[in-house]
Amino acid sequence: MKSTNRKERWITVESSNPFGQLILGGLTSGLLYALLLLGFMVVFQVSKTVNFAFGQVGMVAAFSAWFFWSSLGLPLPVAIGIGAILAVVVNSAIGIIVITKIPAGRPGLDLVVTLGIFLFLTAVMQLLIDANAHAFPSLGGDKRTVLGGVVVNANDVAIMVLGVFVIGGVYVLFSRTTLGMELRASAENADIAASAGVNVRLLRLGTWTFAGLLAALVAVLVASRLSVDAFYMTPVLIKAFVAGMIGGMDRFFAPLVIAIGIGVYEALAIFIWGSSAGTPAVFLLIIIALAVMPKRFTAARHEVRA
Amino acid sequence: MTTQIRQLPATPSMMSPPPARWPHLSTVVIVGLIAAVPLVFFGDYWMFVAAKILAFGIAAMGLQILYGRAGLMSLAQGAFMGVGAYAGYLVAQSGLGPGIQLLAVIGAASLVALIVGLPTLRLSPLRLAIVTLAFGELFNWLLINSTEWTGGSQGAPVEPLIIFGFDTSYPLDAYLVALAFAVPLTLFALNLGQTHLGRRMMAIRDSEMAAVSVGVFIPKTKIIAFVLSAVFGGIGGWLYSATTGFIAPPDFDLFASVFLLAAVVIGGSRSVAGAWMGTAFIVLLPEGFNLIGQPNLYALAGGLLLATTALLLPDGFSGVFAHIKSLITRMRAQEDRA
Repeated sequence: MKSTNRKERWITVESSNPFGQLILGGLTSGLLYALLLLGFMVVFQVSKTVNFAFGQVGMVAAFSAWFFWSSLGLPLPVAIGIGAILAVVVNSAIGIIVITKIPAGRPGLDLVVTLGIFLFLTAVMQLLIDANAHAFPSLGGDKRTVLGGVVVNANDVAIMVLGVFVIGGVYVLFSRTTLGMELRASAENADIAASAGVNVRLLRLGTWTFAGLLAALVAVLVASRLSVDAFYMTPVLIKAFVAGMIGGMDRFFAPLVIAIGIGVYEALAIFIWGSSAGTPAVFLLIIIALAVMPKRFTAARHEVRA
Repeated sequence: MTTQIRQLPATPSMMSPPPARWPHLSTVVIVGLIAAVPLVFFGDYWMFVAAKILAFGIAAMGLQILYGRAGLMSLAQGAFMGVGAYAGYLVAQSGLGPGIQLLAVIGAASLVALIVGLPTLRLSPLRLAIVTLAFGELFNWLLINSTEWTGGSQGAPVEPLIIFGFDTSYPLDAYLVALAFAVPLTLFALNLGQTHLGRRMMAIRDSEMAAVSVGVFIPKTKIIAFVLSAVFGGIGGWLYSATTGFIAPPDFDLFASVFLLAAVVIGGSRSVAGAWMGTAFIVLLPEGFNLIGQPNLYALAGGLLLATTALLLPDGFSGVFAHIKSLITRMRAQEDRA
């Protein structure tokens, strides 16, 4: 069985530029947080709902892809494709059947409802596959080259390219296109947007589909660097969620930059204080940052429903 | 740009406390009957479950004070249960009795709440939730990484509490000890809404600006709510550890906090009774699946049931009762008019 702790391996890998190696590792982790957050934010923009189950949607894609590949012997791209379709179906079902039914003005209800879905998806995957952790194919992790003393693998490059293109693409879509304007209009006031001829239902379905695909993509990439089980996406979701809350879910670049910053800081903490220091260092920083940050930076322009 | 609001001096009516209004006799009788049910009908196992409901219910009431009354969201109530449980455990390890343990539990929960709350209570409710989430994760990490004190990830056995001859290693005694704490704390929570403090909390929940304009000192009220909530959580955790006889970090992780929040929301966040009903639902749900001989089904159906219940009853269980009550009142009014 392959190592389930690749994260430590890429941090401690022999390279002539350990600091550069560290920054690369942190950047790629941070980009994964940012990509997941992007999907989370897109859903939030449309539904004004915190979807606690969003990470599990990605888990469904990656865990089922692993199962189709390892147990049924399907080629990896086909297995990942089926997993992504499952994630799209599950995410769209959550959006259409559940999220739209959550009444407004009930604080915390979205958190509880999506927590129920989180537990349901976790249980379904544990029942259908199992409750163990499994090594996922490394997806280019073994194809390496050295740039400036830093060992760069194809997986890192894929994450950086995807990160730049997806984040840039969504930004252009939202800010520069008619479709983006219609999306923003339907998020702001669906009734007025519909009366102006915008197909709100189709736009929402498209948003849920896109978010599901993004969750699948991130989950597969995270699995390729760590391992896959029914819970592995929860820490990733928490860090993405935290970045979104600190940066503001109604902003675009600020939360994504914070997500990348969390990845880099986490890598630095692990490098300096050891592998067990990553999580406490991140959460300690969050507490300190929010405690000392001037109020004008922490005031929410539009508070989320939860 | 920040909005400046002139703070008015407190009016005479705010200076003098309103008369304390204790619950109606009918409420006391109903609660007494419910509390007596386990004593009459339950065997050891269900008595143990009832004691667990009481412990979790106390923690949920604390969260109801913070979230339902003051409008501040916390994802660390499970961690505060852990603070109480481990404070009691460490004091008991020194050979000290339940009285000192209780003081340590209250002291530790208050101190930790002050450390976490003082610099962060100015934040918006959701950012405060993030801080509490971060605190909970840090606390859990600390428990796992201080093995010589806490037993680490393996957990630690807890000595039973022995209070006036009641030994919590026996389910009946554990239930009675938990009940002895649950009753006064419930009365306190019920009466809180009638006090100036409770009203100040509600004013902050509804509109901070309006609360400031009528002379409410927001930081003080928020920190009191936070400390009260933590103390309830600590006592709940202490009683939970005495009931189960064993504590481990997963008992007090993020999921414990989220489940307590779920209990408060499902029960109805605006009512103390709601906190109790929500807690009973959350604790009894897996037991229900055990009862029908399908314990494995809980993992599958439990989440679905949680989501469905929350969707079907958006105002919680207490909202259903309130609805029935208003229907009866309307029917009576119609009869009177006829």
